[in-house]
Amino acid sequence: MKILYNWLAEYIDIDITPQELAEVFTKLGIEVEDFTFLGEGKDTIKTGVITDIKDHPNSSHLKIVSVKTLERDVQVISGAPNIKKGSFVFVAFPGTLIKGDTIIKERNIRGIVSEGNLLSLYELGLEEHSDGIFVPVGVSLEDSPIEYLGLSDYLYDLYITPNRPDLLSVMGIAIEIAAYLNKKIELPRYGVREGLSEMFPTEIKNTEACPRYTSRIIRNVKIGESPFYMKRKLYLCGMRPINNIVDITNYTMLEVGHPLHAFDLNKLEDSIVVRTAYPDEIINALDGEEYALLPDTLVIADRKRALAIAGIIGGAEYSIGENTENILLESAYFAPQVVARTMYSLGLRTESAMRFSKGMDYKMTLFASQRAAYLVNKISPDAEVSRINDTNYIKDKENRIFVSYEKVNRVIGAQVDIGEIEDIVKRLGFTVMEKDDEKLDISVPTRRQDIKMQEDVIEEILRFKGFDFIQPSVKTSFGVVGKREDKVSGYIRDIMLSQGYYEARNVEFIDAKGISMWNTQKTAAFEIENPLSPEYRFVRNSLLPGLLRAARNNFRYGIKGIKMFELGKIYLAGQDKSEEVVEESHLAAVSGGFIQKSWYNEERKLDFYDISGAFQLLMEKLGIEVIHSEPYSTDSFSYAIDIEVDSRKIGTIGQVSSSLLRELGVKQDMFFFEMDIKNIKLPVIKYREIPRFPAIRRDISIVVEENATYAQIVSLFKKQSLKYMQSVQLIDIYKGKQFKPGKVSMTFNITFYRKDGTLRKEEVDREVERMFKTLKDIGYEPRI
Amino acid sequence: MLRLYKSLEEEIKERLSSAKTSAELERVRIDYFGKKGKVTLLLHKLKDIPVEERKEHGKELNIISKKYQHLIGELKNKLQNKNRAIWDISREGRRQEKGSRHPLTIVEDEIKEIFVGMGFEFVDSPYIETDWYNFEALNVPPHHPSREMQDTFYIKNVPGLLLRTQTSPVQIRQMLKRKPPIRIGHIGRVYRVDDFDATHAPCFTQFEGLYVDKGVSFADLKGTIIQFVRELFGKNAKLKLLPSYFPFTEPSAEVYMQWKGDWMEISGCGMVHPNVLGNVGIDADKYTGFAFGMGIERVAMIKYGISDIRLLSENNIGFLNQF
Repeated sequence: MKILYNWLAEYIDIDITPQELAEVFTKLGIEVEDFTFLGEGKDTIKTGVITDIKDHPNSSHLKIVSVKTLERDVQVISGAPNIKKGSFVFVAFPGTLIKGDTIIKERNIRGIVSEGNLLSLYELGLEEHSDGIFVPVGVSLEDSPIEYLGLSDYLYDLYITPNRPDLLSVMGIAIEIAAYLNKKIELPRYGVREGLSEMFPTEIKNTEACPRYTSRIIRNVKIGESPFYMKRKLYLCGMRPINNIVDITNYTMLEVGHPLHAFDLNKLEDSIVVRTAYPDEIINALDGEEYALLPDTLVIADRKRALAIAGIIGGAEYSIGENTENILLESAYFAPQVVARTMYSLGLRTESAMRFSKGMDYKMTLFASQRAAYLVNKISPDAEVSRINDTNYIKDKENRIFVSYEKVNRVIGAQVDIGEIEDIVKRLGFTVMEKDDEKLDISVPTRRQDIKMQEDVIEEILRFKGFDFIQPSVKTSFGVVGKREDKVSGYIRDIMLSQGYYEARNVEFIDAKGISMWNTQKTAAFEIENPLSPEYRFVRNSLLPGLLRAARNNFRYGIKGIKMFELGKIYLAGQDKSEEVVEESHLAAVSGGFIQKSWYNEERKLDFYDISGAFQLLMEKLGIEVIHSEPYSTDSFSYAIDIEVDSRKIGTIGQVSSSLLRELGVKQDMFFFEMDIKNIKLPVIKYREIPRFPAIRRDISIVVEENATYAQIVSLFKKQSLKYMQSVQLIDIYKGKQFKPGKVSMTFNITFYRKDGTLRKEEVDREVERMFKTLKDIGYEPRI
Repeated sequence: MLRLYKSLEEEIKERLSSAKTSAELERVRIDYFGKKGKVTLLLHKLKDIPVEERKEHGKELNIISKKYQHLIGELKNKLQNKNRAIWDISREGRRQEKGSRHPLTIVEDEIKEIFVGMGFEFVDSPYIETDWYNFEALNVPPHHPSREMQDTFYIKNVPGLLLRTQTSPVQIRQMLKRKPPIRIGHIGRVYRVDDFDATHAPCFTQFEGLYVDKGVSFADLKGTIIQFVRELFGKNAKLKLLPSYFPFTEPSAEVYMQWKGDWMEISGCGMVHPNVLGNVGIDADKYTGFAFGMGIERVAMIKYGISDIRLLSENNIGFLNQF
């Protein structure tokens, strides 16, 4: 909410500087989002009088204007339509800062020097659009334009938290500041001679939604522009000036907080009816839009039609126009939930709706009407005003709260003086009804709808006292022990890092393409009702789309090889009921591109064995036995193997298909694995005896079918249960001309070891011999 | 000082000065101090010298033996140093590529370490939530004006399901599950309808803490936060609290930290609202509690001087490998 320092000063005698006031706002929990001096860069504007106007020799619409100011006479080029010899103007000399951060300079305009600018209200930041320069009335050359325009003022843009609708007005802020600074508040002038005896009948059909409706007739008003001070304040505080009557309702709202509405009385029939909308009822609103009303929309109607959406916006037809003579001024109270519901469903966040939806003070209805009537009478002195027709169903209930000193001290954890509590409460305008040694019994004014219980009062005490007096402490409780829930993912992370994979954290939103990537029976992903963009339409059901997106971007940045992993949650919609939310914790990794050449490394392509190595190491370290499915392929994966643990599929490892890579714009081959880690537990590590005696190693080569798997060959070695054979490591694969087509030679390094003593060479020879015999028996030719 | 073996010493000196290699030095050692070396033999022959002179002779020979064996050793070392292989320390040595933890993980780990030390138990909590957990149970009924503070992503075709806008639902879930004393922490993702720019993101990470027991006060909240911030940002971190509003805490405050001259908001906090305690069946007359929330991205950005929040979800390797 925007507020002017000088406007505030109309109601309280502020003896602190605008800067200090900004600090007070902050201390009280009213965030100052912006704070500006309106006269910034404007002291070089002077009052002048036009002494001569000549045609510009090189332009048909520009004039050479001679202006006399106290300082000096200047020549200014202007195209404004309203320049007149003898009229007063505000001239900006070079260096003046005007609207849009523009600085006035001496300029040559088509061959003639312009020594400054004649300013319009737009350029002065006081109007949305100007048709010509501003012509001040009743000034002399000695007058300061800044003072005349009210620009020696400060504008605050305040963020008012939703619990404090009482602060959405100059008076509301004034009451708060007065309480803090211990000042008296001066109410704006209100009331008028209520000469008319007529009243416009009112019927409230829905007294819960609208428990109070007041109206008064004002006849014989003269519609026109509002006075300059009013337009200036409205504009600076974010409202567009329209005409004097509409402006008065808005001005009153900004001033005292309560929204008002004015109808053209001559267009109304018989009486006001407050009711919910009829089926298919529509309203053409003041904003130029047509709204289809919902069955629960509360409207202000006459006998025939809806005139306004209650508390939100008026109908265009019944609004105040230039020919309006008589008006009906509404000041009502609407239930916050009713206005909020309609505001959300119609998407209509007007200033009025914003206020009513947060809860206004029903006691302000009369005062706001009185203040508006006063202003109408001042601006249009011939207007005749009727008494207020007050239809009121509100049962005044006193808001009484006990404030226990013990509770205050217990919640704050610091001692607050009893006298100080009472002082703060009184300054806030709460009435102390009774008090004793233990508590205060207070009555809270209706303006403070947010104060409902003791804790609310404690917050008020802290707001006024600040937090500095509280000595920090750290309490402990017996039986409460600190621990982490993410040890498994931490363990997994460490292993992935050790294998050179970077940890990624992706946005959890993916597109329609992404959700079909992950191959699972439960592929249904949750769709977002109101996504930011099609790219972010679904909640991810797999980590893969995000990782591949990141890989693509990295390749674009010129990275040659990618090894990246992510740990995170994914969501699947349940198979049977769509409301069922299946949450899984996943680990996924991708790799692709090249290992870059260096003086000690050959350049080489990352391939399947890079990712499978990391995966196998992980499984080994976690102590998990996995079963692999037969390889298969899908649209997304050219090669995929499912990983099963305890006969449950937990993930997939493989290669991304070239068609998917093309769609993603990735040129390198990409390999991946992704798995659910929800059921994975930290490994139970059990120490195994370490070798105490030297081991013996032998290299054995064997020519096998090209497509024979490692597992198949190792099982051949292990066929003969050998006592001392410890481990088998593949060390070379050789495809030479000396072998028949389709055959390769594989070399294995086999370790032999004896637990109970030093192994002798002969013992190993015997084992190797036995192995060779078995292999030869089934048709292989092993070589040493 | 040496009188008796002056010429012997001269001889050794002469030999050493002409020895150019380690092998030649070794030759000299053997010739004089080896098993059959000149000095060794002289030492053996000491017994033939008359007793009154023996002491003097022995002393001199021992001095020579010690002094020149030591010198030979040093000369050998010098030679060896001269012949040592030349490695180039300025060259990039062989190395394994090392992965790195994401900066958000690093910050998370630090936070968890600090709070585990203070007795907080960290728990997990779902990101897709119901309206009840995310709003209603937290004292935000439908159409409550404070819903405007957080624009929500809703799940299509499933009424009442949404992406949580804050980590506070974890308070409800844990308070329903446990009995006081409750002291829990949670770090996870939250979502708000907000376009990406340098300081905003539609999804970000929050840290939530909750402590409920008899006699927990605002002073405990203040103490916990100060201790945490000093641990994370250093002993000189300057903090201030300002009043604020959250529907689920009363009184509420915001925590600001001075960083490079500016005051930055780092946390929202307060005493758990009696209505919230009521919603989970905890007696608000008996128990009090504090809760706080904090954006982890903000912490990482302050700590590492990251100016754009988008870097934290782009996963650019040039960025990641700095951590």
